[in-house]
Amino acid sequence: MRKILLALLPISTLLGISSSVLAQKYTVSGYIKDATNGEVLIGANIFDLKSSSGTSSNTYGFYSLTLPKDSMNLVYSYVGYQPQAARLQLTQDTVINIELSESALLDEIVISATEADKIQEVTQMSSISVPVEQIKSLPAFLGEVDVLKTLQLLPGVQSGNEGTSGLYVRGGGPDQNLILLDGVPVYNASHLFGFFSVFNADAINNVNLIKGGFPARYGGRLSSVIDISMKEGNMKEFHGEGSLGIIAGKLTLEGPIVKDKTSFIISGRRTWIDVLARPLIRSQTDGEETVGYYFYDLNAKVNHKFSDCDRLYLSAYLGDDRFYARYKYEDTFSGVTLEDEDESGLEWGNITSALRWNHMFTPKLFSNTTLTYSRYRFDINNEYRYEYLNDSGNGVLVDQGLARYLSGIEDFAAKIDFDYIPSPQHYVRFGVSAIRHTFNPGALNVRYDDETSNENINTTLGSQETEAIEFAAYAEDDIELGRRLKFNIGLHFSGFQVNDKFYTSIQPRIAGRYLLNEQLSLKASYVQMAQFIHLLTNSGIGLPTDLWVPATDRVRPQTAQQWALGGAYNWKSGYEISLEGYYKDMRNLIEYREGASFIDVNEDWQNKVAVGDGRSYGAELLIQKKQGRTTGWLGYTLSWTDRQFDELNFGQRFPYKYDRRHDLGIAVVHQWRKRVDLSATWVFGSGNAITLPTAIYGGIGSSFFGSGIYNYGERNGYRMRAFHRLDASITFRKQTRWGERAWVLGVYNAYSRRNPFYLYLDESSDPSRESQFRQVSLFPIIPSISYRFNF
Amino acid sequence: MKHIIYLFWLVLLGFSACETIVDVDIPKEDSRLEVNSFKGIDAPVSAEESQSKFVHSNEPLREVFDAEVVLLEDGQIVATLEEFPINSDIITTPSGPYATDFVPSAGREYTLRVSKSGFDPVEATTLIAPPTPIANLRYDTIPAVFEEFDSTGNVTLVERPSLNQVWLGIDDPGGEENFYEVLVQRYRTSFSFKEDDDGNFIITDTFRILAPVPLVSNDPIVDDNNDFFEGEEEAFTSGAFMFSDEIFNGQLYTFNFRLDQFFGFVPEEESEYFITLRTLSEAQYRYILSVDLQRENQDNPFAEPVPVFNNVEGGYGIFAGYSADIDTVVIE
Repeated sequence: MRKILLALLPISTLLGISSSVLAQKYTVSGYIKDATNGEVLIGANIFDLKSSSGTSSNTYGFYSLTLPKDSMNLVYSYVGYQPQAARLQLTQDTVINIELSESALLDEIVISATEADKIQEVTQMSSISVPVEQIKSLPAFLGEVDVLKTLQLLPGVQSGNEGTSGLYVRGGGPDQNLILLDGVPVYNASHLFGFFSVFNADAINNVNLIKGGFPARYGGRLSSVIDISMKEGNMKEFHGEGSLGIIAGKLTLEGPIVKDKTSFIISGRRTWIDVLARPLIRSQTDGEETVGYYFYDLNAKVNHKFSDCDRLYLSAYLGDDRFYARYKYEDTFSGVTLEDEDESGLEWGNITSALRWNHMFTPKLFSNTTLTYSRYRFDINNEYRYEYLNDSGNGVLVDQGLARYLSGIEDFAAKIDFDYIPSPQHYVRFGVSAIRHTFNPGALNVRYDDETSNENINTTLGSQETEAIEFAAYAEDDIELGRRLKFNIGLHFSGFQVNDKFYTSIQPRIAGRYLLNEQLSLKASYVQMAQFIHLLTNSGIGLPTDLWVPATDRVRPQTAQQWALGGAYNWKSGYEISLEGYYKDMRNLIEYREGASFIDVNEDWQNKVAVGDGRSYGAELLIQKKQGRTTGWLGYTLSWTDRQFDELNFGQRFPYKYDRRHDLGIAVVHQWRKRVDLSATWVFGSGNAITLPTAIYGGIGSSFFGSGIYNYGERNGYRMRAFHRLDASITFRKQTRWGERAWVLGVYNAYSRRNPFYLYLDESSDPSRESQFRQVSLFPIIPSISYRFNF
Repeated sequence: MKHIIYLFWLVLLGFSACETIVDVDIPKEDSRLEVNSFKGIDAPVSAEESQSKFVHSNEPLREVFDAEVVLLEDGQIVATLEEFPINSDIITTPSGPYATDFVPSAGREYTLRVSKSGFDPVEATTLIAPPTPIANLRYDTIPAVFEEFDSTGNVTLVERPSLNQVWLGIDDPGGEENFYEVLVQRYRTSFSFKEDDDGNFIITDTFRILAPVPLVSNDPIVDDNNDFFEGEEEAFTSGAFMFSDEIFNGQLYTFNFRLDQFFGFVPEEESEYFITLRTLSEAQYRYILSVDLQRENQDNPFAEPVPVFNNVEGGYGIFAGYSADIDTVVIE
């Protein structure tokens, strides 16, 4: 602890100096919101033309700018909105709340850059913010808009298997992404084995991805932060929107409870394949069997503005995947009627909730206090009942039983974050947080009741719950040293207490930019990260059985260091171009040992994993067009990623499964006519790494097993075919008496490319034919149609 | 877990998976010699020699004949293995086509050299560890009913006491990693037969075979980590349980198991059980474990393929030795 205090001392000293020096200055502060619905605008820009000083709004729309006692000429701007100016004589601290209107000249999908958004100006590198409207305008698999799949189109972010929403950021694993929904970690962001993500785009306000150069306020994961903010609800009037698609429908309602004071939003989504298939299944099984699958999400939020200084937010997310199979069978044998009922289920899902209190102590000091709850649970169960009907027709129990396997993770957390903006040259953030994790790596409950033998069993097997405390403290400052040079320097300290083991980690974070000219800047960053939790996963397909487990005395926390160097160029204020190189070194990664791939309640998970290191390096190019009728981006990644585990591949370094040399993503949205939008995405990726057999020999006992032993080459030593795919959609919008409706026609995999999902060796029994590798592909061309509406 | 996999496949089928034959640039590998031999101090040395094939080849796996197979003890040639004629009427052990009468000793290092024209010569070395003695042995019996067939094919039910649960004490030497195999064998009467002109089977000979008895156990040291719903573990196909001393290194450990009567053969009236504790080499342990894991995961496209342990230089296979301590239990 002493070390932390010493580390924080220079920043504190700096703050003190700043305050005294700035005695003759005043602060203008407030919130920036959307004039139509009162939603806060995150990252809006405030720029004083007179002093050439500026700042931007934080996650809550709050801004603060301290200027000399003088006249000021402020310009408020935000992408897609009309800028507003404010001129006044600054003689005291002043609060100005601004509401910006969407640009009348630009339609919702046309994202325009403003003077404020210049990529070359900001210190933060390796960060991309994708407007939700743009996400909703891009083609979607089966018409279901997916936030995470849009992020896969960005450089440095790779998808896993085809169609899935897993993210592999700069060579990291899917567990190394801190996915925050309103500041609360979401532990499993997948529905239906990753084919859809849990985020309902209609309920989302903002998505920000950080893949390197992490500011000190973020911690707990190695590879990325995906910060997703939910909408707050319309403060002005009641509105709704929704859609009906091939597989799902959704509806969002929002509005004021007390106008300009309290608002709500509630949004729900559910798939309906099970409902459509139910009559068919029943007719095929004479009503004896029912099988179905569905998932649903529910987002809700209420926020209340007590005053300009105090706001309270309560938000929640609830989502589940449910698979069920019910079977009821009746038979008469020798005059006795027997009834057999069997019910199986698989359920998995998240609950997150957050209570947040924004408080402005002074125009320069803003705080956010958050209490959060997050739970992921996986439940597999089977229940049966077997009875016969006696002469009176009453059921007499023969036996019944229940087996239920539960696993998951549950968090309670509290944190407080401060934004302190003493001058335009400093933007200081500091805060502390604590999380109580409860890990349940798998417990099996078996109940059995046999009336005939009078045997009863009720037992629970498996791992005990493990509790752990994780805490963190951080401080960072965005320092402007003259016009050209700017740094973000910070320190993140974290600790983890599990059983009798206590880990700590001090992580320096530094990022800087140097403005070469008005259009071009150089940027560099160095960060250290630590992660105290691991994800046990062997499939890479987002199975709900993936287990979160804590670092222990045997399996240490994961750590990483990342260096990045790049440049940002703003070409004619219409194109933003960034080029970055990075090198990431990761330690204490875990993988299942070879062959240890299944659940086992008696085996300690620590015995089933191997611990090793990883590294990733490469270059990323991003060209974005944010202005005009045609917008979009091109992202290209050239990268190398490998792993080294003493217990795997005979200790030799091997390519990571998702080591992808070339990865290209292109996204285009074009406003063809006033009410017709076209959009397309094209992705290309080098083939995933795969382990294949090179020879076959008999092995002991081969005659018994009827098959030989496969000699595998180097782990992940071969490549599947390259992956590429074109998706496209067209949207027809129309104003109606009650609002607006839109038909969206889409096509997934437009030229029906057979992309590899996995390979297997097809050994024919015909000796005249050679054994061949067969590639299994999932999705051919898939058209979709959906109907959207808002009112 | 199976539910999950089934559901996943259901989803994939729903998305109409299709298959394409693809060319993968795998460098052609010439056939190599394969050697398989587990030898112990309780039996003469034998070895199977066969050849590997390229992964694209669909030819059947072939044995290797006319090879020169030499056994060295501590660097000195002690035996040449000759091709062993397999009696097709009677299943005999050892099963390899090459064998010698030489019985190895504990504490010695052995090397097997195999050469054959058209192949690169191969060589493998193993050290036979001293046997860990059975520290103590307890057991109980149960009456078991067996179906006994006479020479005419008639079945009679026979009740005989049978060995049931066994508690075997292992005094594990500390400071080193040890690997064990526990098996139980007993003699059973078997017979060979032929079919006469009328289609009847006629017993031509009867003989005694020392055969392994199937074992099951709940003991944590033999827990198979691949079952979702736990039950008793069955021993490997060989009828033996194999484990390491990871959780009892340097301590006295009592391993509990029972004989699986359901699959047992009819015991003789006075049954003699040979309870064996083998001290394996690490190579043998790793080989059996990895073969078992590879076969278990063969049909799971999402599990990482399991490489099989190999200690044959220039080729494939396993050459490993074990020592053993045997206790005899007689049930009357």
